[in-house]
Amino acid sequence: MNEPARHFAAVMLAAGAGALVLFVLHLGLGTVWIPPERVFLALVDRAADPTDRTIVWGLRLPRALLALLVGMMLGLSGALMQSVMRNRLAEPGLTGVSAGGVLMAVVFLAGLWGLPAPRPFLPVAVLGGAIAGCALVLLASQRLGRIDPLRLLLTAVIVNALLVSLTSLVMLRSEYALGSILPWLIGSLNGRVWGDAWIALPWAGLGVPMGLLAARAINLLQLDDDSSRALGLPLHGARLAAFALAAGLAAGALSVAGSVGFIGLAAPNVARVVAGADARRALPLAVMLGCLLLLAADLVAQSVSIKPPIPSSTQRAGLPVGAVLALFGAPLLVVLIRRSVR
Amino acid sequence: MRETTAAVPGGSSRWAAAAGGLAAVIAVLAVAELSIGQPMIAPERLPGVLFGESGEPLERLAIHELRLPRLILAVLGGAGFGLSGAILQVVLRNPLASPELLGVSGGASLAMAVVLLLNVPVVFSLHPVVALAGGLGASVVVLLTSRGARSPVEAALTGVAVAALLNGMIVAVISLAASSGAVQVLFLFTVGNLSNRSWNHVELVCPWLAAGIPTALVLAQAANVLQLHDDLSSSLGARTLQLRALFVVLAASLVAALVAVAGPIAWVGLLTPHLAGLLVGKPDARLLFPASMVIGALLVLASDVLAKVVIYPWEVPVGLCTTLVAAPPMLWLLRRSSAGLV
Amino acid sequence: MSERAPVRLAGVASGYRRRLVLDGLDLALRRGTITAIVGPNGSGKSTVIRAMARLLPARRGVVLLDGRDVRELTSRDIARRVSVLPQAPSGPAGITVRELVEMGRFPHTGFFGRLGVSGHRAVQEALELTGLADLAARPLDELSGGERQRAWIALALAQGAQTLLLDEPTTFLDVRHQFEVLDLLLSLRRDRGMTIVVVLHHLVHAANYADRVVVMEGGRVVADGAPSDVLTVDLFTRVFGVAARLFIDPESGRSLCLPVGRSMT
Repeated sequence: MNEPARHFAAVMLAAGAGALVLFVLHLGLGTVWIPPERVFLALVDRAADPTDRTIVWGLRLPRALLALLVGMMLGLSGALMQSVMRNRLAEPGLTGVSAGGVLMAVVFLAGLWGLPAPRPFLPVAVLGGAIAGCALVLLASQRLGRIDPLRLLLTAVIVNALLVSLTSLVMLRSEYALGSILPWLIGSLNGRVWGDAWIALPWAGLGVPMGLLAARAINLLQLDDDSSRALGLPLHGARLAAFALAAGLAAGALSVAGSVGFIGLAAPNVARVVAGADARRALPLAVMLGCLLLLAADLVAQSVSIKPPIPSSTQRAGLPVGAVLALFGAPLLVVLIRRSVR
Repeated sequence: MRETTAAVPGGSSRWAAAAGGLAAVIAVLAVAELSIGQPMIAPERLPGVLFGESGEPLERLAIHELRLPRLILAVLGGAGFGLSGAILQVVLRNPLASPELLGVSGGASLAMAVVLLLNVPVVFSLHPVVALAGGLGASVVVLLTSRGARSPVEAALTGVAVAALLNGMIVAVISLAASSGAVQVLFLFTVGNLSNRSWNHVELVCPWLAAGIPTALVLAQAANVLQLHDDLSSSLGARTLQLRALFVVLAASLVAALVAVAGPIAWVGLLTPHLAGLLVGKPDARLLFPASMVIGALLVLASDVLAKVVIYPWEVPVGLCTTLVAAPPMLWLLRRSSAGLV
Repeated sequence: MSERAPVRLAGVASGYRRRLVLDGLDLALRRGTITAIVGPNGSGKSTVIRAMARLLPARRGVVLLDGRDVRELTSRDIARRVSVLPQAPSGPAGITVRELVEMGRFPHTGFFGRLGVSGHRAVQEALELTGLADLAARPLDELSGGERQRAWIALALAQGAQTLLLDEPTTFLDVRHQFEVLDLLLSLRRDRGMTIVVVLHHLVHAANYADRVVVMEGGRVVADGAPSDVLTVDLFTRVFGVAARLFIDPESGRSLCLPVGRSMT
């Protein structure tokens, strides 16, 4: 193995180890602290302490698993968007998925469809909205069947703003929707159950490998238009496919965790700095870093909720993970942006 | 630079016609603004209620204490945001610049959110100062991180990223404070709102605009010089960096007081200069600045009327309507130019 | 020797959305030669290159690669026969030379294929031919203009195509790097029998390096032949609007017609 390949393997190993550690810690953290050895036993040993097993398997595993899966999906989605837009500041929200999904979530919660709003169906509604939002962005930005990154970007910003306004409009009509939408707007893993994990699993299970396999095509997408076509890449088809995959991954993440920001932007950028610009390395690392970041953020979110430092906050289930990401991620993000705009 | 399709080639008679047309539209909207609400007041009776002694006490109260200040605030708000956007687009040579994309709106909102939600004791008359500090701080961050951007779109992307960041932080702050009223407050800080504004608010805003608008008009020629390439304008004697900084501060201060009382009125700053440019025909700041003020006022006034009407008898925050009103022309402008708004 | 031209344009009309640049152009390349396309700005030089590689569809007429109509070939088929170095190539920031050149194997590997032994060999060969084997691990952005251009040529070589089209490869390079690139093209023709088409602004280079010069003006070919036959004083005046003078190289005895400014006439 040559030098860069060894370096990459070392990085991936380190990231993987870090993710594992965080995962185990995550499973241990809660109103009852379970030390790592017991967590491990609860996971693998049938004869371990039954309380431990109930807590770990029933309550904490779905959330930890979701943090893992959602982190992976967002990391990859961001990397794909950055390739399509050929810009390191692109992120999953630009697909229109978040805005569309949130709008539909709000409509659903406000009961505007005249249907009762059973919680299990929420992800389905969100997914529908997400797909609609993405379709809107694509339709509004394409011209003669081609996707131009520039126009896509600007259109995405406008369409997103439009959808967000409509969302606010709906929220005004419904107090209930107003209250419950906040965690969705910012992203939260509180109270997630196995049902949610089962939804996320196929998305991640299909989407992530597809994205990773297409690394070579992703590389070509980053060349100038002429070069990539001269190499035989069906440019517009490839762009559309990458966009659709990014949107799909973002939609999947959205439907279970709400609109989690920061990860889709940060993970691919850090991955690129560490592993280089080749997608065959940068994509897997982005996936890994996505998990790491979300696990870390959710750990912080959970531990803060145990003893909330803010005097004015009322009794709450816990800090939404998106809030942690927004507050602590902000300075990091600024540094990242600065680096990427040389 | 922006497309210079001279829409008014016929000289002063065309100017007069355009000005007359705009004035008429504004007059109509003003009448609507004063008439609509609860109670509805027929337009014919307005002069009496406004200038004379007629009308029910409730009507007189509505007109004199609520709708008149609201009308003035809408006009000032539109003029302020429109002018701010025009200044930024001219001076930063970026057709995608605007108070939102420069972080001014977001930073101002965040500062206000922190002050109000965490109960920091700041006297009401100093709120615009807080907003200004937040706005300037955020714009410094954006400008520093986007230095070295290879194109206006890259610079704008930086602004989008930072704006999203700020938005996330605002939502995070709100979720931390977490009282039931806090979610209502969400609208104040992320979307502009003119309802229930009174003369206090107008008084707060007036001095800022009274100082800022004449300054901008007087310095318009200097802004023109800054449109040239930096080396060229330096050789013409302009101290480009300081001048640019001065203009950014000016743009931020025009908007600061407005954000402090009404929240950020989205999209007006971005769209108005483009519409003004289409009207005026050439990128001359001396014409563009006043035109942006007029068109901005028109836009916000129209949006505010719409805000009162769209789900009558309830009201919608004006910022939502500006988005709904601005999105179609922006999408149209985007499709029209062959390579984005640049 | 094959009868069929590696690339032939027959009656090709092509252009952009609002502008038809070429209107009924006929041009056939000869295998194993370097053809220079010259002409004033807007004469259609880039359009010809793009039409040859099917980067621009032909609205009329037919483009043949090895006798086959491009419309019947897939993009990857075309990429295996013809490689292009466009005017302003750009790649993702931070990519290394080797990673860039590896992208050239796409026509052979497709989306999911592996690089394979033959792929690695092709990449290594391309790096060695362009003298970049030592710089393979360096990021592209850190190379000099000439080295960068050679890296893009290495990418084109890794494709394995026998025909190479270059659109103004030397325009923005300094003198030494211009010659680096041109000497490389000469060695590719000589050692590998590649067919090369180069769009050039510097007529001196065309005179010195090309076997055949095609002069374009207003979307048509106005002169076509050996440099000494084509680059005449008359041509310079007519097509380029400059005065020219015949110079004789004292060492080789070759005569060259070169443009001169008014100060020299």
